[in-house]
Amino acid sequence: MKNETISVLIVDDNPDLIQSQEYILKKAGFRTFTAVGGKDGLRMAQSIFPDIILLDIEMPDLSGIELLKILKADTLTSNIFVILITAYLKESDHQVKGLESGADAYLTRPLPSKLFLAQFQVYADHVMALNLVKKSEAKLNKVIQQNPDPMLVVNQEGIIIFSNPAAEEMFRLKTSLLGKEFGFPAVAGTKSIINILTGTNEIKTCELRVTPIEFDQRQSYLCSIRDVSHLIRYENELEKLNRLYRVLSMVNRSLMTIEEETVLIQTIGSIFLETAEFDLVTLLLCPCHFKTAEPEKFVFGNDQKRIPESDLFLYLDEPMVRENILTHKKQLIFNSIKNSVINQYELRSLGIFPVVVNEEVRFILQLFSKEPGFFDKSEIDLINEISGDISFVLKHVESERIRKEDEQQLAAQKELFERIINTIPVMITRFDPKTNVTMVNAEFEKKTGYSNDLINRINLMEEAYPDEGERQRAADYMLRAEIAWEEFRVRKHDGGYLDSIWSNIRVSSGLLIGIGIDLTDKKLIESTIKYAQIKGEELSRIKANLMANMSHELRTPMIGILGYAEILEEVATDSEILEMAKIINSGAQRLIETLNLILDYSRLEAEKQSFDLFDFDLLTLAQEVIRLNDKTAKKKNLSVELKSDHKQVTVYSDERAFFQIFNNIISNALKYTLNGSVTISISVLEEDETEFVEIAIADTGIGIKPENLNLIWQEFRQVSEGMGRNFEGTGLGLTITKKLCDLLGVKIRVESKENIGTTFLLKLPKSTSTKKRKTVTRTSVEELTVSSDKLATLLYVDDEDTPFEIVSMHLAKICKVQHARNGEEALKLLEGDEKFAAILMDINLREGLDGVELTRLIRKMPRFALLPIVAITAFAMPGDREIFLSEGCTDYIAKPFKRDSLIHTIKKYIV
Amino acid sequence: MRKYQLKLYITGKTARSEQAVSNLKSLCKSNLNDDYELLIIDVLDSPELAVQDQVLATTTLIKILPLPVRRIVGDLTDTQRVLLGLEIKV
Repeated sequence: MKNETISVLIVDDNPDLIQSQEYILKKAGFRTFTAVGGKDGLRMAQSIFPDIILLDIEMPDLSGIELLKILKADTLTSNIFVILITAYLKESDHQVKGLESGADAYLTRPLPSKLFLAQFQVYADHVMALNLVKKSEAKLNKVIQQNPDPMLVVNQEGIIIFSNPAAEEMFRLKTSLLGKEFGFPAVAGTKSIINILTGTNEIKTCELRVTPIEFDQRQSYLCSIRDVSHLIRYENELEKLNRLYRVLSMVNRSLMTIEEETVLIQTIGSIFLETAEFDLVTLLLCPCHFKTAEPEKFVFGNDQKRIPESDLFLYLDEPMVRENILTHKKQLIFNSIKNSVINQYELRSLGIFPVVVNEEVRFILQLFSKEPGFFDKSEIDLINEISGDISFVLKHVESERIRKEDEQQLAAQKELFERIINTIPVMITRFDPKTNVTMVNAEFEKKTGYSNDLINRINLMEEAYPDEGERQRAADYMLRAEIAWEEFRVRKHDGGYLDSIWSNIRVSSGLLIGIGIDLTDKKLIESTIKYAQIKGEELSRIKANLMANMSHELRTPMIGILGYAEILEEVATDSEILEMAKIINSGAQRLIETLNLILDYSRLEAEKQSFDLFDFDLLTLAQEVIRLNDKTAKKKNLSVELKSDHKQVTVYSDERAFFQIFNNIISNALKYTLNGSVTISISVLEEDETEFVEIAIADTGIGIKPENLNLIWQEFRQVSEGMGRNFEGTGLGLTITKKLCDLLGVKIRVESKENIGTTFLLKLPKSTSTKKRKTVTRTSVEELTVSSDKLATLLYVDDEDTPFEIVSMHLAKICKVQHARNGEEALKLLEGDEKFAAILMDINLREGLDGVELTRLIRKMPRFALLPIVAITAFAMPGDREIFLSEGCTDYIAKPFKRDSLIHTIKKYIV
Repeated sequence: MRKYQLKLYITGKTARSEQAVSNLKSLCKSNLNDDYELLIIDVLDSPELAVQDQVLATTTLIKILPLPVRRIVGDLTDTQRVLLGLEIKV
């Protein structure tokens, strides 16, 4: 029975009425109390706090209205539901008074008992409902009060109407939250994240849950606030770290494939910006410390260049920052930027990280975030790890690049080397320590018929040296690998023999290389000359002409040998190649000296030698010759001295011839002297009022036996001859010297004692003419270099490829060279679009027109009348030059030529 | 003078606060006919303004005009609730 919960106090001055009403209500289940009279009623009401008071108005001691006023005025009893009851229907003023005094309801008597109960039940139900509400509110209050989470109740206007102790604790305001304006909670669903601003200036990230409730019987909102700062921080942290981990994996994955440093840097910048979601990223590439060079700057994420670069790199201008980054190579963190310049761009955190490659700061990464306190220990650790990985990637990229460049350079060098090896007119072989030949070059195959393919199938040493003794000599010589030249007769594949001189070297890697030069031509000349000599005087002229003709054939291969050796010495970076180049060069130089001696001799024999007579100083000339022989002297530990009482000894003669005379005698002296010195004394004497110059060149050498003294002037003779001869050389030097002296009117004689030494004495008149020698100045190759964008083009007409290749390599820096192999090709090229600055003209073109005919033809064309044509030929006998110039050539270069003299001549026609 | 005078308090330029700003702007565009002035205040930049306005939490939106002055707190994602809280009838 729900009525049991309701207690009713019946107050009346009439006990009968009390009894009848009590009866009805008790029967209906209410708990009833009774009081007779007003005073008793008040006492009862204040002690039992009934839910309802049924109050009679007309009572003598204390009227119902009075009692009502007292009850409603007291908070403890004000909530009691009071029903006034009276018998006087017409006393409406009672009714008004009662209601005014706070009565909750009004009943009139007489009232049939059924109607009375029905009426009363309505009021009782209302009281019951009210009680229920009061109970739940009390419960809610209790729940909110005791909740450990901060809770607020706000009304529709957003005003706080209730707060619990936890909320007060959280907000830490000076006064209570009650009555303050929190704001209408506008959240989607039931919760959202807000930031609480506390009275102590803290900002707490909180989760706000909102539940609509009826509070104090009004529509309100219960706001439950939970501090989730640590959770949010944790979440943020995880998110940030996750982004940085993605950067780490991207750096490792994608950067490996990038080869260009700038592309790499662009990629790194974008990854930090996009993947790690920094607000701004800058990269400063420092090639070295930025004191010396302006570093390259990269900026990522600066939309519309809002922030000037000077502001972005502001921190890096500070000495402290530089010191930390560049010297200590450590990161610098600004987690709440105080700098007002940076602050205006809403950037709150900055991390400056150096990326170190090979102990050097390669670039500096600046990471800006709008989030304050972005960089925690884990972030810093992770970014340092990333920078370590970037450095690894950079190192890898760099080493890859260097490796590729090395490979390319090596390949280019190898190609050049192979090209030279296979075009150089010198035989080259490679062999192992058991003298098994493992490689031969094209020249070797050409001269001997043994190809690379063949040497793998046969025993080359047995084939080439069928005689066992000779084979052993060759093998011993090969393995000694000393700097020397020795002659060998090599049996060719076709059974014939090849006279050749060989030198062997052991290059740094232990590789053994043989270098051979074909002596057939030289041998042929020698034997021809010997034959001619035996045949006697009448053959002398034939001999000379033969020499002149052979000159061409001898000079031509020398172009390749000398030219390639010079180029190789210049370009080779590999020590093995350089060593080989030097040996080839010195061998070639020796051959050319020999050749020049032979040609000088033949020129003298043919009596075609002409002299240029000028005044010159003998002392200066002697010093020049001493300097030239200095190397040889030092090698043998010999001293060469010049003695004279004069500062200058001027003679009127041919300086070039005298140079040759001095050089022949001094080099001869050095050759035959094993220890001691060579002394040149120049003195002036007077005989019969004529001044003479006497030159004595004395050595402390092996000396000459008296019976051999006349032998030295003879051509091709050495005191020791044959296979067992002790000293190298052609034996032509002194013969030429004698001839030159005779022609110049210089008296020459020799005094010698075996094992003591030899003295050459020269005597000539000291003349005084006023004819002075012209001075020729040399131009260095560097001065000759022309910038490549305006290179002139030359046409080179030569039937052979080797001279063309040499010439184009030598001239590569100053002009371009086009090749025509014959007259026909040359004319076709001349008629083409190309404008040639000059023509280089070989004379012996084998097929079709020769160089002289071609020059005549070109000269007939009016537009080429003035085109420079330079004869470049192995026709280098006396008088040849004059012939070519008279046929229309502008200039003349003899083959073989030295690089410098070639460039010097060509330069005149291309500038 | 625009019809609506609004003040928005945020904390820092975080994803959440930027979301709130963009929510509000789109709400203003579609409901206030763009006839509004909005002042955005970052409490990190101007904590004194928050004290002056007795702002207890962010994100808080204050409607200064038209009267009555009303403030709402929350993420401003629910347009209807925002309008209800601001007592704006559309």
